[in-house]
Amino acid sequence: MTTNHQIIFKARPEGWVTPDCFEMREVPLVEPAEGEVLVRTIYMSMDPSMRGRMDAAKSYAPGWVLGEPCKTRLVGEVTASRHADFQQGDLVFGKVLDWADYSCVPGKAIRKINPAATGLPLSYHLGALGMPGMTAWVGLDLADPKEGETLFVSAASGAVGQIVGQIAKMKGLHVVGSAGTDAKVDYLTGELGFAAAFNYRTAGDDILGALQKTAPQGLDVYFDNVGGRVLEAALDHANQRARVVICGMISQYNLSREDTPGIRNLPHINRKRIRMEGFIVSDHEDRRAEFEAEMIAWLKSGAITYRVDVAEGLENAPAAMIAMLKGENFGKQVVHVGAEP
Amino acid sequence: MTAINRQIVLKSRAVGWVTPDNFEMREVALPEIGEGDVLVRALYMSLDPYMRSRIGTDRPPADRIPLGGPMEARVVGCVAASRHPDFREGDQVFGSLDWADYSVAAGGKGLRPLPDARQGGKPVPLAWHLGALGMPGMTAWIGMQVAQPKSGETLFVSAASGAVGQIVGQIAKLMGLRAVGSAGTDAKVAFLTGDLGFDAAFNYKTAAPDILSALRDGAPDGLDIYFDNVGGALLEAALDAANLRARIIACGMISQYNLAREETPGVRNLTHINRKRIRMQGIGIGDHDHRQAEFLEEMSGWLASGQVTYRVDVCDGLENAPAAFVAMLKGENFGKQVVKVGSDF
Repeated sequence: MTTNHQIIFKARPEGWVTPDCFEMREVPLVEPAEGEVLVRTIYMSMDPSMRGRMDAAKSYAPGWVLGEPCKTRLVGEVTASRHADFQQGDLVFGKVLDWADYSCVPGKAIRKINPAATGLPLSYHLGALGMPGMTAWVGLDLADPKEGETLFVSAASGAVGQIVGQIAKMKGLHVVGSAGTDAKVDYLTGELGFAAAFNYRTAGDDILGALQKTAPQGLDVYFDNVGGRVLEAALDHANQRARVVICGMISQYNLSREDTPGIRNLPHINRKRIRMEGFIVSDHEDRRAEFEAEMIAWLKSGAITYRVDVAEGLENAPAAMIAMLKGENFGKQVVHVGAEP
Repeated sequence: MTAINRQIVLKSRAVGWVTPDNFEMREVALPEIGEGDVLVRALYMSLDPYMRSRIGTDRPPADRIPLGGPMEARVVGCVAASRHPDFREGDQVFGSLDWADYSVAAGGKGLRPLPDARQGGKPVPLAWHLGALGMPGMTAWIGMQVAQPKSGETLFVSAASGAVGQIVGQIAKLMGLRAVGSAGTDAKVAFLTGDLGFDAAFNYKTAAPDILSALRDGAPDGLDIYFDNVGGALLEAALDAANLRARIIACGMISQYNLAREETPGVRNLTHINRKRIRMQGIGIGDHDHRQAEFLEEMSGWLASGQVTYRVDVCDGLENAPAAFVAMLKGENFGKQVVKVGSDF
């Protein structure tokens, strides 16, 4: 094969992301230079945080460059290597590779993975065993959960939420989740064993009522993936000394400041002595080995299960990202770009 | 001793802006005290923003002042009669008592003698026991510990000339931080950069709607700590100006207390909390009672050496307390608001 398909960041979105922000480009396949590795994409991760890469404003990770390929976490196979640590056929993971059939990157941009050793699906390296799983694991640790407490997690069937709820349950918490369809709600209380769950869309204006019904004893921990009205209801329903972990606020990412309905009950933070904390998993890289050991054991024993939503084909990645930002995915969203070896 | 006691009671629950009509003065007979009780004549009474939440409907019913019941405040007073072994007539004491000329501390509950605190060799003004040495001072002291300040960092405090803000800024200076404050008049701003030694200050009313620019002028390196006393638009600007791993101490949100949910312009940029790994912590000094002695010792030292000073706004007369309370919620006070109820002798 001598050509490569890439999806280029063509235009910055104003508000909602649209397919016009992207463009597929066919380019010649480059050969790796000294120290570089050519990686064939197998699965690409679609993460809400990518929305932040599309804005001009500075964030914790570098933004995408207009006219250049969009970037993502992916798992792939080394097809050519001029780096001593990698050889053809190696399965690898990288954090900042291209939305493309192939990425040519320095060896330090990737690390080897060994799915054969765990028997777990390759795509899990982008989910339960990857950034979202570790985000859930680290974030829950920051929340200092105690047995018998009540935890609420939003976007609970999503990449991070699934793991948050299952770990919290193992720690003896009463776990409540919200999601955007009845099927997701059934999945939470059925397969994942949440104590209760509700559909925030059908709850509409009365999210607080849904929380009161499903968590009558109030909230000790809120793991926030969505922000906005759900956060406001969680603050209303929080107990004294509640911990709010801000993992993400997907409901806010496509809104301009002027269009954002602000949070109107922050005095609760003072009155209830709430601790509200943002975190980024990459600050906790030193704990990766500890996380992987624990998560692999949980996944292999079936103590934690994980749902992945697979979109087929690189060309469908833009649509998959837009759908994910709207909550149309069911489980961790990945794009299947090339065949597993 | 007069046989009559004046009390201010809650006449109606506040909805939206408080008015003096929410309160009523009542004359009652001076109570007899039982065994173990102490009768205290009020000298100075503290007016604090948090009281707004106790006369509205935001708190659970058990935390609210009941309709027809006397308002409560922290008071510095003089023991008028005592049947408690630890207190004698004439002792100066601190307690949580009524908005009234006289209150009974049943069993002496909550009463404590005033610590010996001096500045320039002389005892500090009595009202400072409700401010720098009282709940506001300890709130500032605890909040600054929770914020984990480091020398060289930048701190921003709103309502900076108020009861808590003055102390926050002065502690920050003592710890080697750049201290930036906001206040609502040019005279307050001049007090902050002049008398209190803040590095920069601005008038948020004249800066509006571009509070962020005023903040960036005062804090060109961004904010590592925001000590929030006001909430709302200032909190939003502080989140915009916050640095990575900034700490926000949610001490109070006075701009929000008189607004119904529907009227509140919410804070629209909380995504910064995630992106900048901000920690926002609500504090209440009730959680830190065991540290009172440590606080009093450190604050007394700062006051004695003159490293910390304090401005009090005194309203004269119990009958004027409701108007002073409303004025304070509007930011019309200049310094810690107290009411002088009785004479110090």
